[in-house]
Amino acid sequence: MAGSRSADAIWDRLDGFDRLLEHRTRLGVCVLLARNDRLNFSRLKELTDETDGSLGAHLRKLEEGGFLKVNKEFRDRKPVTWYELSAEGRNRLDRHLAALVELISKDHVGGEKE
Amino acid sequence: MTDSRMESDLGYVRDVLDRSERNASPSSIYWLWAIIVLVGFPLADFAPGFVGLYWTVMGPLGGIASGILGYRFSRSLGQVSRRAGRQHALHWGAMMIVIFAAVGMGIAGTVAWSEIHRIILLILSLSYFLAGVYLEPPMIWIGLLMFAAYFVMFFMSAYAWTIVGIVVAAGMIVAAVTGGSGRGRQS
Repeated sequence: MAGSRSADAIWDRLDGFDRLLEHRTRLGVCVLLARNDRLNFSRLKELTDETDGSLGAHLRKLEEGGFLKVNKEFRDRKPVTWYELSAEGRNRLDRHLAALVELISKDHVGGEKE
Repeated sequence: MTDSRMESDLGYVRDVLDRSERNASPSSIYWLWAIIVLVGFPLADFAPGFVGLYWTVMGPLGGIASGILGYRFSRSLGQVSRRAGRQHALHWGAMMIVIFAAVGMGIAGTVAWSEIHRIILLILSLSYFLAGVYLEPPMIWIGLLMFAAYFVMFFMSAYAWTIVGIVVAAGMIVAAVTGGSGRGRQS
């Protein structure tokens, strides 16, 4: 059963799996940005239900990992930060999702065999 | 990562995505169309000669204004999606083309001119209903209201279009107040 395997053992066997997307918030942010052209910080915060600090940390990791393009602008004298998925980020997300699908289907087939 | 954690994480991602797609249109778009309808429908009763001109101008103009209001709203909400914009443009653009085609049938004489208004009301009711199913839930009620108005018109002789216009505009105002969103948030 997959439940008894260690995370490392499972993920390391998967081609395309991205460690940075292992956390659900980062995966959620990337999926949101894949479905939309761009979202700003407050909208991401509202949708992910994260605190400012926590979401900021996740976004920083994604930005440093090359997933995101960040744009800052002022609106009514208030700073607004917009996030977009980079081309590299989109590629890596696609590969990560494909790896997840592969894992799920393998587990499903394995489960039926057991 | 265990199966249950993966399931919980994927459920979370799906939930986040669902919530992001539950955007109501800005209420200003409903108000805009309530006004356009409130003026345009009664024209069929009071100044039939201006109906074609009014809708030829106000239909596309209202569409463009709706696009601008929708874009401004999505920026103020903090979520910009060309895909969603394209969906709306295709849906409402197709509706306008079909309405113009129906008017063309009336002009060509292939369908009695006296029936064209009813056909247009049917096209509108289906378009709003499908918009409610795929784009904005409050529009389902406007579509149903228009469909009911289509039947009511068979039993009315005087000021039928004026009454239908008032009913449809009222439906849009109710949608604006209950379903439409006001301003988005800034960050």
